[in-house]
Amino acid sequence: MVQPAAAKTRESIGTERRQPTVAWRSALSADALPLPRLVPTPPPTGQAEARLLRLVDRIKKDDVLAFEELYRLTRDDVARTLFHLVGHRPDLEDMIQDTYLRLLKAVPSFRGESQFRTFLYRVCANVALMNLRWWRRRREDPTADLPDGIDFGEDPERAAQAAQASRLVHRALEKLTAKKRIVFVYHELCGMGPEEIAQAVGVSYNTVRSRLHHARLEFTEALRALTRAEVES
Amino acid sequence: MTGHDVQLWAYAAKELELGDHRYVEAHLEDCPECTEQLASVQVAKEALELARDARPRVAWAHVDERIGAMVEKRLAAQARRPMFFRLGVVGLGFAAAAAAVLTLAFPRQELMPLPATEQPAPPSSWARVDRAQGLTRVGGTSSEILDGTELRGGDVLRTSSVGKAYVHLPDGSHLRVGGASQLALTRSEADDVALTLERGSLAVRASHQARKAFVVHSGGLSVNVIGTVFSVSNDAEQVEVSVTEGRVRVELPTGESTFVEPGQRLRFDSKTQRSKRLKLSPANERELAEITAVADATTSVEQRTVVAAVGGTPSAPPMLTAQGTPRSLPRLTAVEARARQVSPPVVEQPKEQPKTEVIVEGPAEVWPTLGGGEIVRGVPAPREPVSQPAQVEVPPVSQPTEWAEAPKPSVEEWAPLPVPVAQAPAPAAAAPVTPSGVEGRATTSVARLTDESGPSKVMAYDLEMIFLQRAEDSIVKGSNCDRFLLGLEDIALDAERNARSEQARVLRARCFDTQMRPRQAMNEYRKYLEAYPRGRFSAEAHQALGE
Repeated sequence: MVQPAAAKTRESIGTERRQPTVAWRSALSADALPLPRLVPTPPPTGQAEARLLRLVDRIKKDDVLAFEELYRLTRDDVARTLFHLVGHRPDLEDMIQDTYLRLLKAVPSFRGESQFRTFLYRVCANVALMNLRWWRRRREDPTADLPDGIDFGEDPERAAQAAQASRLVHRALEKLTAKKRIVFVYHELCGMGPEEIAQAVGVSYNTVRSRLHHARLEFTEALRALTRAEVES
Repeated sequence: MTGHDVQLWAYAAKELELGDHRYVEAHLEDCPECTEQLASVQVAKEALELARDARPRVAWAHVDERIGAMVEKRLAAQARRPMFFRLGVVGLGFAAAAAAVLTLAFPRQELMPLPATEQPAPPSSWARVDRAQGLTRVGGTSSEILDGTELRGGDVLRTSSVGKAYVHLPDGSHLRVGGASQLALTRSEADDVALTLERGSLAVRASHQARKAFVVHSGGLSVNVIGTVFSVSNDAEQVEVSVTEGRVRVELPTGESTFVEPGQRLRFDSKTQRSKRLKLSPANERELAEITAVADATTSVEQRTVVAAVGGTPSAPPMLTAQGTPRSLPRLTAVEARARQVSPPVVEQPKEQPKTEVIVEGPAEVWPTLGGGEIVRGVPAPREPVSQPAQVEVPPVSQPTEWAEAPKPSVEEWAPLPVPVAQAPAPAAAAPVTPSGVEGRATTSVARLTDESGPSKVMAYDLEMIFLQRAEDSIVKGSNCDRFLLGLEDIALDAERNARSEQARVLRARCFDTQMRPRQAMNEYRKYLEAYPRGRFSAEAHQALGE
């Protein structure tokens, strides 16, 4: 007979190994990966979402102005998301354009089964995936010889720290595979929950959990190695 | 790795339930390996926290322009079109994109004037409002749309219950939007028009220009047009299609397709899904006669002033024809439209030169207007003027519509001597340089070509002022002002030392300044001071030169 997860957890307090219990509970409970407390981008209000949906309806009727309005409303979010997903690249503007081109093609197929924001993130994820793979194939460092194109805020001290942290984070993210990277960034940098990520990436909930688990391990290890290398040098 | 990493990360983020949290806490006291791992996790989380605030700096002006162009191309190509059409338009889109890339890569080549025969006028995607009463744009400001306002695909117009408006489309067709109507200009290109009448009434005089489609959607019906005068009205229960000239093909919501002939009115009942053929009502005839008169008047005026002067597409608004592709231009603001409307287009015609007057071939109460709302003075004349029998043999210059009778007077205006009309130089041949896509060239060509005629001179003056204003706007906004440089030089070199050439010289200097080209900027300022030592901008020039 299978005991409840909470009872098992209480029983196992003080023991050295408890992996079987964790694995069993993780597979079935949605609480295994709760939403992170830090949410950098506020979730869309019902009003904002309704406004986007109205625009989508107009776009389906070939309304150019509606698409332009949608673009104005979402472009900052798209730019920030793509930046987090792929890091500082010279072709970020091309990616933004590609995202909206794909969005324009994909909007007629949007049936309102998810939030429009999630739908938009799915398009971003696809664009980012293509871009990450493209750079991997070229075996070049996309961050080499980049102009200063990142805004870290107005506080100079914090901006300096943020610039160093951002550089380290993106170098560590380069060590992850593209799929793991997207899940990790959506969860840790964009503040999305695993269910929403599953919709945005088009995989199951458990796949998201699995990728996030491995991505966290690899990211921590990569960052530790980078930090150690910097200290030694 | 300890195997506890997920819990450590969640523990560091305070995501765990109380029991799990205490378990990890207790475990950490006994496990130095996990403690070290936790430190790494915390460093990683702090780094992520800092990196989260990073924002990329994007040149939005550039991206906006690219995406705007992309959207227009895409939406023009898609929706309700056979696959071979879609493929064709996508191919054109790629060709346009390739041309744009070449243009960006070799900007100097664009500035070279090409022979007139090799430069088709760029198709305009702008429609113009005329004689608007109680017309507003849905989704925009609540203020009324002024005459001369330019519209484009995607705009949705609404008239008040007592309002009405005329819209001149880029393909040379004319619309009359009745009261209490809502009309969407789904596509409004020179070669493709799609309109959606949500409610109210719409009368159309469609041109015979070759194009992909001209379709009006209303209440589930699709009215496909060739070259026709017809109207569509839509109340909540029934849709009516009335035809006075040509014929239209109506696709019913039931899937049937039928033709409506001249003098017929097709009524489709939305409830019973049945259609019925009737005779035209007097109201239909009146409405259609009105749009015909306005179309004739407007076409006539446009051909005489625009085609004769510039050689571009007759149906295109004069400003757009002269200044290149509409994509490269910012949209007219309401203030600008108002300014154009009140700008002084007053033309003083010498009494001994009556030929320069524009004849309005329509009812006496109809007064044509141009894009900017300039009223062109004219005298009502009979439809078949007795004084012009010889001009019947004139080959058409460039007819946008089959009913246009405009080329006759345009020749009259350009050939003041009583030579045989058939031998009169055509306006296009008379023009040594047809305006290219470069705004400056186009504008100054107009200025030179129209030096002799009063109305055209006024129009050229108006165009130059608009050009200067746009150049200044571009410099102030920090967008690429390269495309204005050549035109500014032309204006600056104008023989008459006037305010425009003075302003043009300074704008060139400012443009170079914004482009971080100080040598060129200082050179321009020096030229300015040589020409205008006590000019309006002399203080600015002295300051820039460090004097």
